[in-house]
Amino acid sequence: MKLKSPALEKRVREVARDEMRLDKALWKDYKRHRKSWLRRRLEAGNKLLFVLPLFWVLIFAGVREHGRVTILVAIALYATATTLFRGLNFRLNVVGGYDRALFLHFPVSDHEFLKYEWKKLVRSWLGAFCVFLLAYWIVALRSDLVPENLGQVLLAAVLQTLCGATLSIWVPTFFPRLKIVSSAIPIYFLTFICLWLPAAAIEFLWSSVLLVPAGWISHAFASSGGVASRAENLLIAPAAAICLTLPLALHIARKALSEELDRQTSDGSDKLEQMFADAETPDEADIEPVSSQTPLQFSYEHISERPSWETAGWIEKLVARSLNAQERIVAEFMLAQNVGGWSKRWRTAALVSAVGVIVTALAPLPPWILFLPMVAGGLWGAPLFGGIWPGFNGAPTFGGVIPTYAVFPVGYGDISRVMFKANTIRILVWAPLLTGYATVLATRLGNGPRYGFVEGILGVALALVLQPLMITAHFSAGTNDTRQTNLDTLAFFGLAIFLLIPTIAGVIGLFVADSILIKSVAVTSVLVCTMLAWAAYMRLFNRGRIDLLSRAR
Amino acid sequence: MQIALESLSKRYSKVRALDNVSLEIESGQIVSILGPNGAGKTTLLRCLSGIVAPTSGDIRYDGEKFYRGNTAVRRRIAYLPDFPIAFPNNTVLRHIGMVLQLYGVDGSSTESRVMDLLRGFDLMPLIETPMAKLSRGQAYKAALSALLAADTELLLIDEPFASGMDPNGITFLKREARNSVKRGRTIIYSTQILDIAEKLSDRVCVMDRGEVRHYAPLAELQVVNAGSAGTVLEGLFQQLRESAQ
Repeated sequence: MKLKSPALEKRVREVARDEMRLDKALWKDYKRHRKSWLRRRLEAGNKLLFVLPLFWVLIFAGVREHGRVTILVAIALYATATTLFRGLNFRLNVVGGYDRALFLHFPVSDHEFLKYEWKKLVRSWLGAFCVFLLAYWIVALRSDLVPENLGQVLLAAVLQTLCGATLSIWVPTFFPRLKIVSSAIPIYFLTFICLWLPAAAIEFLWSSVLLVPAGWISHAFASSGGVASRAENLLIAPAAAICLTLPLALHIARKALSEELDRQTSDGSDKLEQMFADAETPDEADIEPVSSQTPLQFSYEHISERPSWETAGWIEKLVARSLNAQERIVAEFMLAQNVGGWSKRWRTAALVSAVGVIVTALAPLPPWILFLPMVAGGLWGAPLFGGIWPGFNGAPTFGGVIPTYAVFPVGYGDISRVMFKANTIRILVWAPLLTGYATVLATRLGNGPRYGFVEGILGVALALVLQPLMITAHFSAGTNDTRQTNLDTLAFFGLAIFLLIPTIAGVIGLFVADSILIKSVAVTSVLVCTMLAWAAYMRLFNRGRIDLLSRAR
Repeated sequence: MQIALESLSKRYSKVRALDNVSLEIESGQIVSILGPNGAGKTTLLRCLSGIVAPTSGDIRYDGEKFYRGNTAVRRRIAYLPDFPIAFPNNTVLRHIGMVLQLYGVDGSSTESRVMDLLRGFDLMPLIETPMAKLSRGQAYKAALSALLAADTELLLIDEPFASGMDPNGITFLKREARNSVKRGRTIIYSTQILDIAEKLSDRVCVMDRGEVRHYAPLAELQVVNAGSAGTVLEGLFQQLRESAQ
């Protein structure tokens, strides 16, 4: 199935341009709307660079002293993440994604459609092959293997690609309900952050990747470069065995997907409606038929029904007391009327922290692992990055995405006030969890409970003083501030860069300084800087110097 | 609400979406914004609602310069984009309730108004249905009901007649628009459907390449274009196309 007609495009372009050149106004209009060649190339390159976290790891790890193992860990993690991502994304595209929705409207058979998606998958793995080749090449260079053992590099890259491709077909066939966000994304994240992990963490990950086939190939390659034992060379056998199952995987997956596509379009099936539940047709089953004889019973109380803060949870109750009537309305709007998540999240954070405290006190684990429950508890229980407010969610429109709040009469100040009050209370109620955990952790690491307690308090203070910045970031995400060049935006970003220096200095000072006085000055300076940034952005926003329209992502 | 646009311009990098637009709109009328694709209709509505920031020029409501930060003025304006914006899990009823809260509309008289709108738009069976489960036309009608119930002084609607609404919904909207205008409200909407614009509008504003080509009461245009083939607006568009060529 061909989706492009380059020859036709070229011919039409030439004829159209010739015709437009004759009309000055039309030609001018055409030139105004056309992106320059350089810009098109730059944008394509940008995407590629950001899409490949492994690329960055290679760049930075390649020049480090102990970079070899880091790269091998990164290869294994990236291969695992990309296997999950490509496989699940492939299934999503085939059975319920944009591609499926699009091709259903054209005279394309399921067979042709499936073929087109297979080709896309194969092409994406060819891109991954280049990355693997580059990565193993860098490891080989660092191990003085090249050029004598160029074959090993090629073999490792081919195996890694084939193994990943095979698994990317098996995984969605047997685990169709797996989600990209919860499976592939955390591993991509780990790939990227492994650059900054301490040596002990890399060692731990290096043994952990043996759990996944991508890790077997990394280990086998490492053994040839003297990074791992000779026996690990044998790991290549099970990896090759997986690759051999590729034809079988293709056969089974093709059969399963064809059947699923058949079911979607067969008579009397409502599968498609279920697939695109949030799109076109209403689900008739959900709509109760209304008899003309029985009038609907609802009153103004129904219309003005609002979520109950009092019964939602103890944190919600506390927050509600700090808000006035108008602020409650704004808070309910920004939370999409779903009040009640904060207490639940706090309970989960408390549970995670409690488990973490017990593990810290009893289990002989490497120190860096002991930090993880504390971080997880914080991310889950406290709005460290400003919290989740659906009112900021974007809605698609022509020309971009409009944040939901933009079309309703709620201002920057209204939303900020509500967020600041709610987030402050949520951080304060999370404070005992953090300080308690930090105290136990510091004791375990030999720094003493007092040290841990103080560090915990400092962590809470930092989370609080950074809130204005987080609130500003929430607003900024829904605007085109970085693409709007005018005096006001330039002045704002100039100020932001200027404020960045004392903010970073303040954060460092907060944890490094010994004296309470210096710590107080540091925390105050961070607060002043973040408040200034928030106020400056408010001016930009309220004066209407930026559009509440961001690019569709 | 008196609306004045003073030399309003809006640029999207090289493209001048609005070019020195100056208009005065009296309260209590329906104004159609017409123009070819890319003429700047949506940008004009977005500027009026405060979503998009003009590159230069001012918007004044009742003589007061309009800033996005002025929430009090924004409570007097409602804007419905081409795709209705709502939280997907909120039911129709909850969405209406939320919008009324945001506009500070309260009181039992609202109940009968909401009921009328739900009946008129055939939304009664859908009141407990999440917005995400509605068809495009139904979601549009639900969002429109909420804004009509809020009964703001100025209602800005982007392409309401290309929104997927059924004929009954379109007829009801036209009737509601007329009723609102009788109460002194102003409605500004963009459209490409000249027949509707000709029957519904008090004034038309024809735009092309970001500029206002015509802005006049419909009755005046009818006099000027008397005798031309087709409808008045069709004739006007024909002239516009010829002058561009």
